[in-house]
Amino acid sequence: MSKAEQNTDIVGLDLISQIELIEQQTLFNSQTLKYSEASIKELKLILSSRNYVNITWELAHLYWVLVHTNGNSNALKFFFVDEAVFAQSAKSWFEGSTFINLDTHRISVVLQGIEVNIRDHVFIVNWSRMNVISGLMEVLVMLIPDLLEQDKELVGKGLNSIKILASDLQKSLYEWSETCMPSVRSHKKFVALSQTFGNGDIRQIDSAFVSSWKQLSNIEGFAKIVNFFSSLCSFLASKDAIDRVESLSEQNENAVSSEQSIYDFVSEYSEQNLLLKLPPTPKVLSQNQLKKLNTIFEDARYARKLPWSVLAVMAFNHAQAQLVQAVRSNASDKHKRDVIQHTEHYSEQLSFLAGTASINQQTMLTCLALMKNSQSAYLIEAVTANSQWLSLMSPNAVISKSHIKDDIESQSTVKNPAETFTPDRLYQAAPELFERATKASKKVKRQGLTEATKLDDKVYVSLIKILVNINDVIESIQKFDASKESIDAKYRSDCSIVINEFSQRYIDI
Amino acid sequence: MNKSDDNMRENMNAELVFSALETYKALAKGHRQGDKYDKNEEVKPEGFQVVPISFSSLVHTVIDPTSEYNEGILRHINTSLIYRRQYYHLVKHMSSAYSPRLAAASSDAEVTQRKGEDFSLYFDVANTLHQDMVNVTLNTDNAKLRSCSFLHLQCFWQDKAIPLKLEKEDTGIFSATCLKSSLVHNAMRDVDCEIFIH
Repeated sequence: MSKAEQNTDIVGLDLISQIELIEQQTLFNSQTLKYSEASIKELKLILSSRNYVNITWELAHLYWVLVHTNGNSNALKFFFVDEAVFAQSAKSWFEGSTFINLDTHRISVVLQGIEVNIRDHVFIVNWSRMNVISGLMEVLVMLIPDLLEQDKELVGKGLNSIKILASDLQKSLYEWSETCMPSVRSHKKFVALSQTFGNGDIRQIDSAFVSSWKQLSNIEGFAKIVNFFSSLCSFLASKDAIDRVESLSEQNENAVSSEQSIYDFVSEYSEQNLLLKLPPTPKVLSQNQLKKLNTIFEDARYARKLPWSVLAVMAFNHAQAQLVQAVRSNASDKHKRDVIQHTEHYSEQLSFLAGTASINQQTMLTCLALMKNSQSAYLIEAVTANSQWLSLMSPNAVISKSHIKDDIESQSTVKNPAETFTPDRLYQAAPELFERATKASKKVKRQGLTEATKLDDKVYVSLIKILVNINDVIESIQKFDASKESIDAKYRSDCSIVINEFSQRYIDI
Repeated sequence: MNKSDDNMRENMNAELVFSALETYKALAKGHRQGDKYDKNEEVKPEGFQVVPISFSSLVHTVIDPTSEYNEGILRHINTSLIYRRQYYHLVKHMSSAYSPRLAAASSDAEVTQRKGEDFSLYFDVANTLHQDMVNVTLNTDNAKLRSCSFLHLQCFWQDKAIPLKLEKEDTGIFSATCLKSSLVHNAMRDVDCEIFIH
């Protein structure tokens, strides 16, 4: 048995389960989560990008410090018993500790973190990194059973022992990721997508989405149309990433490592789901709306360019989910046929998108109405966030649109924005906009969107910015060049393919 | 480097990005699907699958095995040889200073025997490495049982079902280690057993 297999045997968990466990972990006898959302997100990015050189280097230094701190079982005590895993708790823990300092090395608590001096080597493990390093420790301790017993390998030893530990940790993570990441499956998917779409124009790819799905649906991971869409977007993104990295490499000789580039790209990609940025209050969209939109917004950058694919996913995903459920519950073929016959037309999807954009517009106007007595700087930030609103500015207004923009751009140099901007100037500039806002606000009664439940202005400014971006994505999908007749014809053609595939896949013929 | 090498390198890197994105998306979706492990869930009699347990939870359970939540974790620990070994190791590793309640749990060493139709079951407190742990040994002459590589033993106490997986040690001898407080602590007198062969 290879070491990797042994690791898997010891862990018994795949990457997703492991991360889920860590996500849910609380402190001892407490409801407080042990690892912050930011730390979990970074761990996901690090592990998925296999970009763990830096963090294992930090952990190896921290471990070295711990074995040179007076007391027994310090790694166990620090990470798991005392749980000194946040910046402040770690700082207090080390401030209350004494260190074993020798002629060749010295450990000291400094402002930014814990500083290691080994001969000429100086390294600081920052307080702000303690939580994510601890999260990695939680992963590693399940992979390496004797990780907590490294004292004898490190105590009294120098930089080389830290290098060896960091290297061992990287090796274990690499071997583990080989076994628990879907590399073989991922490879098959990538090859299939490359062969099908490798040299295709994005419009052709989009137009052939449903027929391509049918052709590739037997590849593991592609049976569900929504998963196929997601992988197609990953594929297009990977192509773009390489183009971008190569372009950067040509411009800059000191190009970053490929792991770092991948990390940066995945990190940027992970930021794009605007729906996850919506605040819990005010609640803008229903759960059903969010669920339906989520498939688009997970890959918003490519959804904009793939309108036919988006319509297909929206139209057929729900029916497919129902069919999978029907198969699991041994439902009758009649029930399954009913499900298949009731897929929603592409025009219904477009109406749904238009309706969602309209709700968002009403919500934004309501936010604006609620801000009418706000600090001017917030109000102007809100108005200028929406280009459609700016276009409502009267050309004969006291201040011009460009004036507002200029003022906004110079805000950072203005000591007191309220002295420079007044709501009156805005009202004069855009009377129609504020009339619309007042009108919209009378129809909206949701929590956080009424005078009685008014929230902080910052929430409204932030919400307006998110909704502007959401509507921008929706509008770019809606505005594709297709007549009503061609939409109808495309739906009938795609639906025929999908019904055929669903029937073969889910109904005993 | 010729064009073919360039293309190969490009494809390989694109595949790495693709794999990273797919992995990240899987992680993100896993998160949104909600908790797989319900803290309040009871161990079901048929539930022998390994419930994922974090290392932190194992440590918490050593520190305070008697809390309601940690008792739940303990039952899960007993369903997995891997976790049982880790937990066992932790108990040895952590001094009782970390766990005063563990130290006070029980010190009465004893061996209790339960006889079934074709097996004998021993709960041995004395010969475990930690006073809170119990060695469970099953001896049997039953040919069908003897042919198994492991046995799933279901102990019932009051209305609670406590699953144990006994590994084959020798012909006709199976054993497991479990936490006394989860199995025998108050239950030594009333424990009843049932064996499932999978």
